[in-house]
Amino acid sequence: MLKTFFAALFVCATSVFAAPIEVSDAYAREVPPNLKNSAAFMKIANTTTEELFLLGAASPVATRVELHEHVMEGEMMKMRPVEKIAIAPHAHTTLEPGGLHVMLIGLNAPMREGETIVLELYFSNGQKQTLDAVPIKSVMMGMKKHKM
Amino acid sequence: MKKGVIFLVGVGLLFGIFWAGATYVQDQREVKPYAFELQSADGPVRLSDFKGKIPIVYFGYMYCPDICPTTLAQAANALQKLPKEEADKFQLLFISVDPERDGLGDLKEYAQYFYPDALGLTGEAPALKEITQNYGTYYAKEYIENSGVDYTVAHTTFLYFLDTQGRLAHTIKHSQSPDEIFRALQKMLIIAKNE
Repeated sequence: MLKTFFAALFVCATSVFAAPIEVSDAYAREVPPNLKNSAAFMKIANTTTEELFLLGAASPVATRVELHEHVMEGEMMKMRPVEKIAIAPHAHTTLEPGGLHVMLIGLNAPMREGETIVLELYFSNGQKQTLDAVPIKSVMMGMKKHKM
Repeated sequence: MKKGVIFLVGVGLLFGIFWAGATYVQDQREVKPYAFELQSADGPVRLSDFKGKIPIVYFGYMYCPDICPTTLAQAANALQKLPKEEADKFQLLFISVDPERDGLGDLKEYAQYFYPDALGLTGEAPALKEITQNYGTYYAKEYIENSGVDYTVAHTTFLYFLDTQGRLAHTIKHSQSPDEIFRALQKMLIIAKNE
């Protein structure tokens, strides 16, 4: 009985310390109903002294989830998959429109603003981060009505 | 004396005809490169269908999860900032350079998702090649290995603004914000007023 108590206390104690990797400001993009792909963006902070990498992700909402980047070559914008995304020690990497993103390929369900999705992230230090409620945001910012 | 006058008048007339002809040809040359005929879910669409309106043209593809929606949303957002009578002078056109994957019905829905009056168009590969060359826009299919995406389409992210006569008036190479587009819209409205 005591053993269980201490075990539980131990577990609670470890969770008080900052996780090596902290993910914040995550959101996914609403897409038109017949579009099969979407993207998720977020800020990833590395609180350790070693370089860490995001290796992959998964989500029940998509058949396949990959990491992608955008690269401007000349005047052409190219998108390509990347094997990993680096996060420097004591720094953060931002996944944002026009740059790095988690690509959700082959959506199983429509993505609508106001709803949320579940996203699992896998890191090189073995940490697995499950984001239970990533909000879906519309790419249409601002008002929808005309100025009268 | 009389012969001299007739001669001078003749020369003047000929000169006038050539000058008028040259101006006409020049105008046609300016308009011709940007003309196109493409397909939409509701039938063929030509640039000349929008004479009198200000077309805004963007080339992209639907499989693109980020850049295309962002740019189209910025354009739509800028249009929404205008009073309705002014916004209605514009015609937002999304031309897909990926006809293999982007069907006409899907394109219509896609365009309207961003802006109710927007049109989604595409065509056969040779037509698209010619049109994009005329506009100075580039796109290239890139086959990707080990990806759920068979291929992506690398493309320029230009937004083209044509005047009411179908001539290219303004280009935004890589729109950073709806404000930049909004300024372009205002500029186009002034140009339209002076035409």
